[in-house]
Amino acid sequence: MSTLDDAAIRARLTDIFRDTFDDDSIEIHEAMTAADVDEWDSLNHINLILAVERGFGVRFKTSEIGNLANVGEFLALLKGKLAAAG
Amino acid sequence: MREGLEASRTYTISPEVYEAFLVASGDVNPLHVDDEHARRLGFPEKVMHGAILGCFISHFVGMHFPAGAVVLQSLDTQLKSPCHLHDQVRIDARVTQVAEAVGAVVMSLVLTNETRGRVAAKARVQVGLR
Repeated sequence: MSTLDDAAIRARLTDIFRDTFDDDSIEIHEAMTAADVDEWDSLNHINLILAVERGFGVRFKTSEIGNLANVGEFLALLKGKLAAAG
Repeated sequence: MREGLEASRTYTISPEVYEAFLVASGDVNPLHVDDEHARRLGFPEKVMHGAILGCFISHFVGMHFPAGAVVLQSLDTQLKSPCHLHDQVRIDARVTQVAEAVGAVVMSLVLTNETRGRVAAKARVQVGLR
C-alpha cells in the first residue's frame, strides 16, 4: 500500500466513494464534506470508513476521524497512515 | 471484540420455525408448501424458504455472538443449496474487520447444512456495536 502515489490514492478513494454512495459521478476534492453528497448519512459514513479501511489496509481510531473537517483532511490522514506503514 | 474471533451455533428448521415463517412472510409458493410440486421440479421434498436462514443469522448476531448489544447494518447472503424441513444448519462466524473508529464489526458467516453435508449459504454481516 505504501507504494501508492497521491494520484493512485485519490483514484482508489474516489472509487470507494462512488461505490459507497452509488454515484459514479462523484469527484472527490479537498473541500468536500458530507453536505456535498446526498447519500452521505450516518450509516453510509460507517460504510465509507469500513470500505476505506479494507481498500487501503489501514485502521482508524475514533480520535483520528472525529474532528475531520473535510475530505482533504481525511486524505491527509490516510496518506499519513500509508506512509507510516512503510 | 477482535479480528479473528470465531463462534458457532447450530439451528434446526423445525416445523415450528417453518410454520412461523410461513405466517410471518405469507410466502406460500407451492415450492415451499407442496411436496409433490417440489418433486416435479427435481427436489426430494418441499424446499424451505432461503430467508429462514436469514432469521437464524438475525438470532445468531443479535442473541448469540459475543458482541453485546448490536444493530444490524447490512446483511449480504448468498444461498448455495436448498434446505428442507428438519435440516440442521450450523453457522460458523469469524470477525473479519473491527472498525473501532465507527463502532462497527464485519463478520464472515458460513452456514453448513449438517443434515445434507453441504454449504447452504454464505453471508457477510455488518453490525454496529452499542
